[in-house]
Amino acid sequence: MSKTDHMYVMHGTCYIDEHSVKFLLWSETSDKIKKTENFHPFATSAQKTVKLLNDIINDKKIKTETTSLPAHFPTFGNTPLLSNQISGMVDYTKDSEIDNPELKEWAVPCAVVDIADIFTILSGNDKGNEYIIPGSDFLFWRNASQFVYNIIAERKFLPTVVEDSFSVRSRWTPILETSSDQSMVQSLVKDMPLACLAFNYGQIDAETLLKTYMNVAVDTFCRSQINTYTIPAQGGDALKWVSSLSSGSSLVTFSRSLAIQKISSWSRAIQSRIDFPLQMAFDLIPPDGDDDTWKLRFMVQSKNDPSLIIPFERIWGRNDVDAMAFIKKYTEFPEEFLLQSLGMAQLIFPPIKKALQSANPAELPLTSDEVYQFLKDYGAVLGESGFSVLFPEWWGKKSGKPALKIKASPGSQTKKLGLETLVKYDLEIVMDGEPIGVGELERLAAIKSRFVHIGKKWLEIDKEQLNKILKMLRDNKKQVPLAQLLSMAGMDSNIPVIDIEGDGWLKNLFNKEHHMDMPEQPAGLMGELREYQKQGLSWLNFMAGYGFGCCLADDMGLGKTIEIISYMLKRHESQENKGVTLVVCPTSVISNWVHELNKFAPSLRVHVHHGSDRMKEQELVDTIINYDVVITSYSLLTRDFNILYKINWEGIVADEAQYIKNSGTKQSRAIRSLSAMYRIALTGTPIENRLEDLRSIFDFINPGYLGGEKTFKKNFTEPIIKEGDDTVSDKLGRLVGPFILRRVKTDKNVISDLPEKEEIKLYVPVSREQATLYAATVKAMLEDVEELKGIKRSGIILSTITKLKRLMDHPSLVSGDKNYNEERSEKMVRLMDMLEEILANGEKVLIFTQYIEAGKIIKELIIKRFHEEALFLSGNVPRIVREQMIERFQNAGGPKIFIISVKAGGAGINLTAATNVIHFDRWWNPAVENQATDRAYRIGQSKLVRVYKFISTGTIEEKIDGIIEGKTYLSKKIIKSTDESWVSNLSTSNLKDLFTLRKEAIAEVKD
Amino acid sequence: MSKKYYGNYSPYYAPSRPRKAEGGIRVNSKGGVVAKKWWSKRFIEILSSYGWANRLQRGRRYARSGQVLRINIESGKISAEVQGSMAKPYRVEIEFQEIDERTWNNIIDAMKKKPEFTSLLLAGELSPEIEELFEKSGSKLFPAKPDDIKMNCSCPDYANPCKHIAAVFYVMADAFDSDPFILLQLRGKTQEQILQAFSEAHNEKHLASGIAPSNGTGISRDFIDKFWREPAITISEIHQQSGSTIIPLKKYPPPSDFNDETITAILNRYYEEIRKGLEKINR
Repeated sequence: MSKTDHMYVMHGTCYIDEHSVKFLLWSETSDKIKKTENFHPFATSAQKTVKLLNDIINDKKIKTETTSLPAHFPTFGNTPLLSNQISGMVDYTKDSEIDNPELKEWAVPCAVVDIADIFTILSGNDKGNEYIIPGSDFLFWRNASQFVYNIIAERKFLPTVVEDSFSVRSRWTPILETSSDQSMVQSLVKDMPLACLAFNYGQIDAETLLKTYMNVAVDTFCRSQINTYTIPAQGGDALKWVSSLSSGSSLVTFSRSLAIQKISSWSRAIQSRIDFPLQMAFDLIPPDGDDDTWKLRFMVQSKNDPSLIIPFERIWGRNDVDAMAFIKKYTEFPEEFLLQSLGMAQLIFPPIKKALQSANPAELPLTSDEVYQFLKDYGAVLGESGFSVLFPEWWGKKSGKPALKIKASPGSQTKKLGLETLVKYDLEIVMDGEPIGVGELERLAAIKSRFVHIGKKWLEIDKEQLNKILKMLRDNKKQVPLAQLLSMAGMDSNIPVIDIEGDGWLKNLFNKEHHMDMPEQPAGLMGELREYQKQGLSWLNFMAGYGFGCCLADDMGLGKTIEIISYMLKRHESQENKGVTLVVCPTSVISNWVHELNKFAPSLRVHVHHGSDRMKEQELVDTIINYDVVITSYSLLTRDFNILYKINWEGIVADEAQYIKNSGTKQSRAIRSLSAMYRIALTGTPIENRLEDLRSIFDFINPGYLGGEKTFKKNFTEPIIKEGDDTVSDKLGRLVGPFILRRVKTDKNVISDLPEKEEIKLYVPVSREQATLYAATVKAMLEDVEELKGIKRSGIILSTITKLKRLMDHPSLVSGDKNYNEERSEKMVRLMDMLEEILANGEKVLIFTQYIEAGKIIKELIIKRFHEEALFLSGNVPRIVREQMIERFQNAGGPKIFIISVKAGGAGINLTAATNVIHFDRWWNPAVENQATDRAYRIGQSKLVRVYKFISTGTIEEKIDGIIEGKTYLSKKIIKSTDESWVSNLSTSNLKDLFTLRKEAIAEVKD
Repeated sequence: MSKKYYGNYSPYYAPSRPRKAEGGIRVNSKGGVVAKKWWSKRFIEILSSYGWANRLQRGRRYARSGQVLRINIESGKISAEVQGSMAKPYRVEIEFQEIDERTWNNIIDAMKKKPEFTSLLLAGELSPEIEELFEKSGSKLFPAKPDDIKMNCSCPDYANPCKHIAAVFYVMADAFDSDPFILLQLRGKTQEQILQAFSEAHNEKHLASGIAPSNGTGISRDFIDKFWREPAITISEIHQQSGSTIIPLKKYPPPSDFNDETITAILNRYYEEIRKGLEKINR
């Protein structure tokens, strides 16, 4: 698929007609496809759908047919309601004035596939294609198919028999015995998007459609996997049945012999058991005295009301009036039910056989070991087979498990060797939060039973763990390197450590809230640090001072840049031999660093190592003495490694450190090999939750600490992600915790320091393509302006402004091509990076742009990169659809991104769920901009709102911003109106100043 | 009932001939049955059970000749004008006992639980079980005894109900045929009020079937919201087989003919082939 191809939304649903059950697939696109009147205007041809299907599945042998079928859609005039994925990309035009949509029938070209085939596709992994997005109906059937897959995998299906008016057929039927399965079906029914019923509108309901799909999927899939079994000539009905289970035709016979009747009633009996409202339950009774006899008591329990439960004992003999009254409501033959249940239970948990020896089995005696076995191994299995197990309240909890607390104190040496520093330690044992002495531990280790009675509680004692700890206590060493101590807490999963505390300077390491020496703000800092920023500076000072690499992971908008600049400045001021710090960052952020450094620390001499005319090898090494800070990009790290390697850096700061992972192993190795006295990583994403980011960042700040790639995978990635192991996750947290400082906008200490609404300007360079086009456009305008006067002159100027603004958003807005590659515009690159952080933090954002085409590009890029939905409000959208968008955005669980390309008007639009506002391009009138911003910000709300304004450096955007801020010789007063007409009143020489592009603004895109 | 003596009329009931009424409400003047539907019949039946058979007969004739000029129905109350023998039409007022709000809530709740009631009602029919439903909810659909109906007529006839009142009853019964809501209105709830209470239930049910509940001009907002709504549930693949480790056929052994060694072996093989097939699904 070429880069100019559009996005398609793939739809599909199960379809039932008189003859068969099939699956329909169709695709939707934002390009209006001219068709005959009754055809859905945005549905592609069926052939196209088949082609798209082949692009996403791995198996090309799927049989497809094509057809057109009618389906009902809510329709605004002549526009059917579009899927959320492309809503906003299409103009409803006149139809947007229609307030009340109607249900209209449209012809939709579809590809038709068999259920067994689609089941295989939907329950497997498809190839995933950037341009093809699954619609909500498609996603629903994926879920349904996954559910069916699980049913088949757990063998919750049986070969049965079904009868209709003339024939007897075999069928593989799903058996949903447990209440969790049954309630999952109901949940799925409620979750079905109504679009799934569009082709069967008014004929069937959601439950029927789902259950039909499930039954047909199980049956046809099972058949298709079995090699056909041919029956011998004299085969009876039983063999006919068995054979038909393996063939495509499910026919068994036309006659109803006795055998057939038997198998038929057997099928029905199974269903009855599932539908029967009572189930057998197991209750565990602990021993009275000191002996080891536990009892497993047999009970009858109501499925609908689990509080209705009586023991078997009361039913045998039929003496108990109340018990009889209860059970007779459901069956005339209660004993049959009890025996059948026991019979089946015995197949799962064989010891029950012993109980069946007596006449009226009511309970089964067990030793504590057997009880442990039962609870651990058989409980879940019984639960899955339609039994109920009343697990004791104390089972499975983490009580009764002893754990360790490590108390570390400074070692005998005073040298600050980072992780190699020697430290002393003491061990404390705790159980259920209470310290416990060695004597008590030894006593517990000696008890035979697994379960210990303490007061009213029973505890399960983990003997293995107890013994391990006793051994550790005996092997306690004197001093170990800090890394080893931490590793005890983290890596070795055999030793249960729950906490680490420290004394002396170690206290600062393990407990960041502890008071640290608060250094003075550096003298050369042009600005006031906020409280939490001072704490940050103090922490950086401490960590770097002790030789630890560290990571500052504050939320976006809290001012990490300023904190780092303060640290660099402070270090610079306090040293005799001043060194040079290297700042590595993404290209789109370089200008911002320059800006901030110049603003806050003008005494530091800054050099940007970037661009095609950057210094060659020896030149940089020779002139390095002239600089205090050198900024370069990740892309140049490997390319210019030879140069950078030669310099002994004072420190290295990796901004947007998650880029290290993106840049591949070469770059990770490169950044690790550079020599530096301190290393600091900066990131806004919550890296504790992102294992890959975590590993690559730690690889940079403390190499080797988390182990190599393979070890990390084995020790952490697999247990945490694949098995969802919480203890490993905790351990990792303890390992990395001391080295990461993260404050978020919702922290109490932070909120009081921050203004509710803060505007942050982000300076973004232009790409080479943009620079070239920019210069050419300006040149042409200046030439024209010489000759023209009056209206014609203003006309040219204003249209040039528009052209340039569009160019800075993305070149395709000016060239008209459909290449939406994000690298053609640094604004897009920066936006995508910011969105990654915002999404990772679970926040919501509004993106304002004046141009609908920019909005379309942004939406497409978001879908492709994040697979997230981006609401898009553009021009003509029907009122109902607009309201729907706003409601969904304001809902906490709804979409997180809202792109708006209409003038912020539309009074009363409330979008306060957003805590971030991005002005992708700007209205140069503060009043208009604020009105847009205020969609999200309301005075007095408790959330902090960050407003980001993108400015392309060196361009007219930067200059006009300068005018608005009163920083240039051109007075603010000339900005009179709400549009840019004032620009046309400028003299030619002023125009030249305003429009000419500054050279330094140009970033380098991949050579 | 007011007694008025006009001229020679004595207080005893005497047959009289009414004046011809122009433009009155004619009930089935060609003969044939008045009140065809079961509830209308039942209404008449109950009135007859009060011992009013004779008078009702006369009322029927009046109704057929169109002597009832106009009828006004408010919740629970009927006021009508009937042309008698005098020049000025007689005023008839009939009042039924209103069912209180709480009981109505019970009735509507009970009706909501059985969708047939709703759909029949909307189609212009009353379900035969409705009397039972009213009773279970603590009330009665039709008035239980004569005292439950207050009747008034400005004519001189002592009899209660007089033939004018009876005529109005017949006209009502005929009206019940085409619109059972009137019957319910006499017990205190208008059509709008009842439908309002149903429309939520109606919407829910229809949404579940994927049918768009219409609100008169278009489809409901709820339907639009749910049309393309993203699924909230995600179902993940189970990792270990937490299910039974025994083959389901052991839990539910088939009948003896189907349980011999050959068949069991074949079925086990099938399960194995299915398991292998499942593993092949691209992961």
